[in-house]
Amino acid sequence: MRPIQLLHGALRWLACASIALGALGAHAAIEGLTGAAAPGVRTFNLFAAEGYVIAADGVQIYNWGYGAPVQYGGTGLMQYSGPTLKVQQGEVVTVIFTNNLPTRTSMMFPGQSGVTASGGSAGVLAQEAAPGQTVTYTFTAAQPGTYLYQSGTQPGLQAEMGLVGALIVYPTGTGVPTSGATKWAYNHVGSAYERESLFVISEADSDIHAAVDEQVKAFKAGPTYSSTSEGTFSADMSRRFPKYWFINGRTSPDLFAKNFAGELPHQPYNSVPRLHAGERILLRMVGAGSDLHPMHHHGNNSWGIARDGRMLSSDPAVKGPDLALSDYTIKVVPGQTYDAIWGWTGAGLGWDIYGQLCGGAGQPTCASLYTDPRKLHQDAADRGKPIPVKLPSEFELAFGEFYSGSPYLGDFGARPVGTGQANTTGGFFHMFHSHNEREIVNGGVFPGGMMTMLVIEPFSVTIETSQP
Amino acid sequence: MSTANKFRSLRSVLLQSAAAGLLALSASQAMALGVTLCAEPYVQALPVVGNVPMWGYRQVANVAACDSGAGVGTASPGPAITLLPGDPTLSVTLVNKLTVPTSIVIPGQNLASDGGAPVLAVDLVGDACTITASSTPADRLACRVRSFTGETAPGASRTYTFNNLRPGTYLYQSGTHPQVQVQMGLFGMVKRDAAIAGNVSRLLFASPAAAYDVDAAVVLSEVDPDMHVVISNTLGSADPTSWKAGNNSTLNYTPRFFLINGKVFDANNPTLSDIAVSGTAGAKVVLRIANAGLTSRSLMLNQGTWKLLTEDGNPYPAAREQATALLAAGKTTDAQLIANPLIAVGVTDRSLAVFDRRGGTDNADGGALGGQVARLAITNAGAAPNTAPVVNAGPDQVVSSLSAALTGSVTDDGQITPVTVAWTQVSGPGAASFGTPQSVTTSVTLPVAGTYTFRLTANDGEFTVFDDVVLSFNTAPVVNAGADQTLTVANTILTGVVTDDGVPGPVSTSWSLVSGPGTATFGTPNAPSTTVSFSAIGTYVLRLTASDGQLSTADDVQVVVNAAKHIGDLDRNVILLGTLPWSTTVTIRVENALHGPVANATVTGTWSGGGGGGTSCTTNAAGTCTVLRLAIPFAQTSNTFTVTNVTGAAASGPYTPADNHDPDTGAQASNGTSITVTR
Repeated sequence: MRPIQLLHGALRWLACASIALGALGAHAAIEGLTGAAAPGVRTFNLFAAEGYVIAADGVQIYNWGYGAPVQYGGTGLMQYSGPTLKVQQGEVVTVIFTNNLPTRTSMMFPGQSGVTASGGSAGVLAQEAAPGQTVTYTFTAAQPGTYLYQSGTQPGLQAEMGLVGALIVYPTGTGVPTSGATKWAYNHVGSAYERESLFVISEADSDIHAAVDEQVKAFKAGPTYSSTSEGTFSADMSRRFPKYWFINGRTSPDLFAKNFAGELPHQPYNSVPRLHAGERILLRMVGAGSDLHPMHHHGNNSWGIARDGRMLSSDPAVKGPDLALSDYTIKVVPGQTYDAIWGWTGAGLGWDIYGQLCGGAGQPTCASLYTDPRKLHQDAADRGKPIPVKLPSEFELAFGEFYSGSPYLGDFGARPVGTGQANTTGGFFHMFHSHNEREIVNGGVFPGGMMTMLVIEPFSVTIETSQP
Repeated sequence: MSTANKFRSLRSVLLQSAAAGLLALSASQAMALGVTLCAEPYVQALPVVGNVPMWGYRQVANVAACDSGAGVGTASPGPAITLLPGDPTLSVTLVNKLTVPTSIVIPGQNLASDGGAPVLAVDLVGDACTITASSTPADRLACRVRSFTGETAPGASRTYTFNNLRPGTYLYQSGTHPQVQVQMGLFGMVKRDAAIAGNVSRLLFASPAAAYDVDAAVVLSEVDPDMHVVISNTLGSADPTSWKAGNNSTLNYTPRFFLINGKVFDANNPTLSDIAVSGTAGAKVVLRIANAGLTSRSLMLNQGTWKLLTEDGNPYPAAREQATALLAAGKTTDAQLIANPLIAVGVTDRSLAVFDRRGGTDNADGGALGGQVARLAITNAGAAPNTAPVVNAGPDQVVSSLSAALTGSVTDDGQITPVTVAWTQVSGPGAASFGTPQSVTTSVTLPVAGTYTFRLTANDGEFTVFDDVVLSFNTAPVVNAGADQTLTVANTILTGVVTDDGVPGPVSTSWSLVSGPGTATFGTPNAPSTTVSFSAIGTYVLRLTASDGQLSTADDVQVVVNAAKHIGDLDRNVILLGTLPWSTTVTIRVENALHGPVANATVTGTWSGGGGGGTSCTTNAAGTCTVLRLAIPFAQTSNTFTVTNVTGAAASGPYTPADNHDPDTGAQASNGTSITVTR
């Protein structure tokens, strides 16, 4: 890697971290396509195309990816990861897929049964489209959950090249809330959550991408090349050695940038999971790469409730996720999806996270201060308590970018002169990252890669959410 | 057939079960499946690189068969070994045709009971070493394990017996330098179903939730061709001096070919990799997945889901419905899916496929789809549903020798495979051996007498059914007719003794006359002890016979009735004349041994006192004579006559006073020798 890239990376980290968080509010829900909906039917128009994704150290990586035309709600560009398809349980889903790559490809919907296809030609794993061809896939989204879709053609190489995306099926069973802040991931109250966030986890060996880039360029330079010419491209996957690690197609800190950030045209999705204290956030993990990744969140354990779109259950309809696992590292398995519910209440901290000091001499009664029911999640014993340590002077510590200067939620305090302030809301930031520490780099430089933050926002901050 | 099994047999099918009786048996009593494997080098053609040296297993009939046909049919994975549920013992005879020692272990199961101790060595070809209390730290470091179990030397063979195999899907593999030998190809699948009494399904483990109809193996593996060449040229060399250069490390292991069931997917010939499953629509298909490679794999279905039921042979608390299966190196899992019910009869549906999601779908050359990809070729067999074999182990038997014949019968509809049968022992006081255990009729040899239960198990490729037969061992009654007797009277008591095992029923006895000069009359001829009387002088042979309904035993006793005479009656009479001295007579009857009268015998006696005369007389034809005692003083109130001898009448034999008797009671009673007369 050239020195200029390293420098660029470091600068980019600082710049994005501070710029991005100021604009968090607009797109906190899971972005994606809801397609053209009619009762019981949902139709998507997608394509596969090539392009370059950008790692946060500035390296451009030749990629293949799925995208959607502008007139169908997309960006018109291939994107990494592919458009997130959001549908309702029970709908007949039709995906009209056109191959704009110079090689044969396809769409495969693991976990969906009864996928039918028309157009193209039969492959071993999926119906395939030659360059320029269109294949229409149809299936019924029978079961709610988080799913992967990907290429079913030469899947080792084509998934590496970026032909992956997520499909989310929202439940429609009896009792599923249709309004209000609380939603269910599955048809059982044990899957209830207030916030959700998608994590398409992948990695890339940029050497393989570069090798394919060269092959494609050579192929296109041929005298008889046309947009329907079918090339065959290959790389020795057994020598694969990834160098970049992605969440939703972005590396850290780019993944803090807003959704559809113009400087990342092929990487429209950010990864900034946010919630209020006392809420639950559904972490939808999608193993889109070829390696296992131990995704570790700070601040609390999460409850793993589902794998591959099925609740971890001895009797899903009756008992819900009764076999859920409490863990602080989520094993993200290639091709597998995993749903975990994480929440944070400040339990056990020993001080009042809202800084509502009360009950002491000369202080108001706690009952008079604690009138906001949203704050009642906090341990009663902690209400009104100041942080039980004398905070050091800001001159004695090196502060992280995400420290607001105050130990209280939504509050600010003095920070050393010259330190950046990446926390514009006074939220609490909990790192969520691959615990394989070599994966939180960009081209070998820390920090970067597969790392984001789970942000506890003060109630004064509105976190938008939406579903199809 | 026992009562319990009659009920089962009405159900016509029975699952072989890990019945309590079976579990109670020691391993040596249960049936063992014997498999002979040659471990040997072979070559496998792979794309781009061509022939790659491999080590694999070949199943043969016996040790000698390894000497021919080397490399033909040798494969990695080796042959899948299937044990019946009632068959917890696997005996693998390993014939080592490699140049280095090797062995067999089954991770997840106990080591072979006869495999021997782990082997320590400095290196593969170095001196064996032993760690003792006096070993230095350096010695201990140098002395490393090279085999988890006892080794089979190159050119030798050895039997590894695995007892009480747990149900499930497992890998067998080399236990010697596994980091080299396993990746060279020395592994295979071994599986055993479970059973629940009364449940006719095939079961992965002992739960109705584990039922399936048809299974197929999916063994994942990898090949690093460069490493195979190095090992083949060094450890695989016949020249031991080259072994030292052998690479015992997989540090630089870089697998470049990825295989399912020993094959890389060939896009031009996809059928070669098909995983064939034949069942009827809706059949529960179980893919027994094992990762014999050294890399974690994420096996994925191209559509739909399967239910993962087990891991390393252990059932999950609840099925995991997934589209993927994460398989760490060495891991096994059982994935159940439903055959597409829409397949028409006779049609094969290849729309389902499995592939590795970790990039193992490209061969080293990249290019077209390859590596770990295989379609599920699910064929709707279409014929009438397979029915379970009907098994009859034959009627329960009572035998009396240590060898018996078992005559069972098995009928089946011929599906799915030709029915195979096996006799096994369920219970008994020792291990019986069968003449031809794979035949419905066989001889069986019992080690000791006792009650045995034997099981005839039939398997048609889908159902396993059994029926039990109970062999009760019958020992003949033991009879003792008593000691021979010599008599001087023609009657006696016979004291026979009869003992029996009560099988098959209560014993009956009877006395009979075998020989003798006259008749013998038994008082209670059906009792071992009885009175008997004889009609003539002479030698008799009497027989006591006991029968248990099946077997009878007799014993003879000889009774000799000698000629002899004795007093048979003493009667008295008192003659009183007021207060004058009084007189008395005593009439004596002399009898022969048959208690008949003896004439012309002279009876001599004595009186206790008083009076005179009357001390002897001679019997008449009725055998009687009378002695008269006169003038007994009146003051004397009684006088006793005692016979002291009987002489004469020599043909009647000697006088035997011990036989004297008197039939009378009351005033005329006597002991036959003395009688007291009272005035």
